[in-house]
Amino acid sequence: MKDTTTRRSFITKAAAASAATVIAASVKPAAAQTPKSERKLRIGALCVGDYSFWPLWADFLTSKGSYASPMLNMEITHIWDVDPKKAQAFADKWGGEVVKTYDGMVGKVDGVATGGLYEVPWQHKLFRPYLEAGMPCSVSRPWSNRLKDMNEMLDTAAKYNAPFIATATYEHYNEADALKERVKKLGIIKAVTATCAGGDFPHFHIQHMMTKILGYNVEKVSILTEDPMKFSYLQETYQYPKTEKQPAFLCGMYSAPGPYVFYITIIGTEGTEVASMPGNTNYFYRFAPQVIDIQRTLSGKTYQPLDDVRKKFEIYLAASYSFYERGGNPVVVGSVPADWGPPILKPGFVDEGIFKK
Amino acid sequence: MPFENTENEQGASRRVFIKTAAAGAVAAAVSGAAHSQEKAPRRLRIGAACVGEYSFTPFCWSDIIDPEKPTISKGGTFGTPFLNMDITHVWDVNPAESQKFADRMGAAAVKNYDDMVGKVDGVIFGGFYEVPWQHLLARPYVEAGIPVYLSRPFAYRLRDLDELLNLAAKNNSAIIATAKHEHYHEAPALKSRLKSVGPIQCVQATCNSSDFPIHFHTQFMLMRILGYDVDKVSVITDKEVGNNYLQETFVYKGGEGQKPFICSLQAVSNQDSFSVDIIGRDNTLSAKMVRSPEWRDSLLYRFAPQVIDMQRTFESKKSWQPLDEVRKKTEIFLTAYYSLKERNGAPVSVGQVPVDWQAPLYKPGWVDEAIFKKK
Repeated sequence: MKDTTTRRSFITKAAAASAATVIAASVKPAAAQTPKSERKLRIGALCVGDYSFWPLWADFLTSKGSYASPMLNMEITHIWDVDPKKAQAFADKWGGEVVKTYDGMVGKVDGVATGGLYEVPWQHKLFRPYLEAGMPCSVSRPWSNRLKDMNEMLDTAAKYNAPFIATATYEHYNEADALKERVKKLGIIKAVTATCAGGDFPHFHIQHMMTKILGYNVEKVSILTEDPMKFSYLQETYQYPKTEKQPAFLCGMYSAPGPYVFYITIIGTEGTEVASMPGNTNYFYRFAPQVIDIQRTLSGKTYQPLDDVRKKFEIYLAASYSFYERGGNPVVVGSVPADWGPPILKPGFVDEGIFKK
Repeated sequence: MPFENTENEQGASRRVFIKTAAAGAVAAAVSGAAHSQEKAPRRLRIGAACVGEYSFTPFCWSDIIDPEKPTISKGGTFGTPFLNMDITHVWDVNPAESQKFADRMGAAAVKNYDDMVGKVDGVIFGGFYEVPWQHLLARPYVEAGIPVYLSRPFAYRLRDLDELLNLAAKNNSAIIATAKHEHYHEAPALKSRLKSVGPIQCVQATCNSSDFPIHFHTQFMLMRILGYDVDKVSVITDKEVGNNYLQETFVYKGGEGQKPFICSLQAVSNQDSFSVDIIGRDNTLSAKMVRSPEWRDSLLYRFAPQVIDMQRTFESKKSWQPLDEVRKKTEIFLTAYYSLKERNGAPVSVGQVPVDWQAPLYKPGWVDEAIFKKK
């Protein structure tokens, strides 16, 4: 196997950024007319129909939801979905104007966010016009289906200096930052275990939280399950490499719906750290932390280095490759061919005809 | 000291604070400019009262409410607009502090404690030293039907709290009187899972604080999880503020299928905001809040949940919880203090503290009572 796309750095080039600024200025008149501080951010909601986070997010972003006041500082002004009826139903319920084409929000909004899962394999195409316009974009996990597509998306974001966020909900929890700091005081890490309430692999968000805590330098990944979309057991294992002061160690993650949203135990020679979120935690506290950081990004600031985004995608991809191609054996991160992708959940969900000029 | 069972004699008994429609109508009529428009303003106008010394408002709430304004925190503000409130008016016992905070927030400092009536949609009392006078400071707003947030521990005498709660019930005014731990997502989550542990054997909790009652917020959080049906309370400590050890104990009455049990809360100084272990016959429930090194995380997880519920109260004009619960938790807090000050740490039955008994004031004379005399 050869990774033909190599582990590059997404360095933002001044020239590309300038070009992006010019392009962005020419295509964003509507959103730029009113100073941002005097109004809410105008958001384009992409992929609001099947298997989308958007209805859940809209519940606290709009005045029609569970909160007396709309929370945060974003207003859903434009909507697109592969199914126009679902886009209209969303607009009727939560407000906003439906656009006909996937790129119909360029120049009308301050940023674009998708909530869908089924559209992920086409996300690099759906977001291209927005990234090329230098507009802030929030893409849905697991962000892409192939490394080649992911690289295309990240290269475009870098070239046009478009603020970018690609995360899963758990990465934004308070406990991720806290444990990342506390790990330093545990001495040598001997073992890490974590559980996740997610009942299918797309919702196994703990995998991204653990890299935020322990680092992105995962060497090998494996997955043990019957079926990533419907399982009675799932175990994902990260093998972290030996470093100067830290022998190699394992991080084992397990699906365990019910008692806890997540439960993490980090065992070191100098102590043990535990953190958890009880099951039944209400949706606002489970999902708002991510949406707050989406807002920060749509206000103009990329959430994390694009190299980190690429790395966590590579780890996810290696895990999938372990299951689909290696019978659960560990796979070296970076060894998955750039053209390989796991089976698409809904083949043909997006009609490729929409991308033709 | 003889116990007075004052519940019937004093008229401040465990009553139900029934909201009356007629009183509500009167309150709506006098609540002034902020309520006179047909449509509520998009952003709520908030009066910030008690913003000087030892106040949550300048310390962090204002950094959540309006992160675009300057901050005094080294950690910075929340960084992105999140709520739907603007601090438009400010009052403090010290006019210089009031002006300083008003300048920072681009708000107007008012001269008198009741000058924000008719100008705001809600009032936040953010201070601690003013709590013994809170029933007087909040009175004009409650009378006008303006929602108020009352700072913890809400009152230092039951009589004072009763006066305010009766007024709120009479005028159909929304009240939110909470400590921040009550708003943490772990509280309803643990409460909803209590059945899974079977009969409770005991409950152990810690709170990151060395000050009673100022920062010992876990006492109120545990009632939210386990209920307000506390039979007896005791507190032992070497000193209230800056203590080396502190333990507050709730004895719960129990009921059908549940024997009486103890909930023990201890003060600790560690890296967690709180920890709770509910040990049942069949299972154990645990939760804790780890503190992040990122101040932004602290603003979101430690402080914002309470401010969000303030906004909900101001917007909906509905009290955050039944007024009877506010009374009950204040009564339990006062019983704890009574145990410490009058019973040397022995358990005291809830309901036995005289309504006129006053917990020791942190700053006697902090509010000049002359300001409450009719002009």
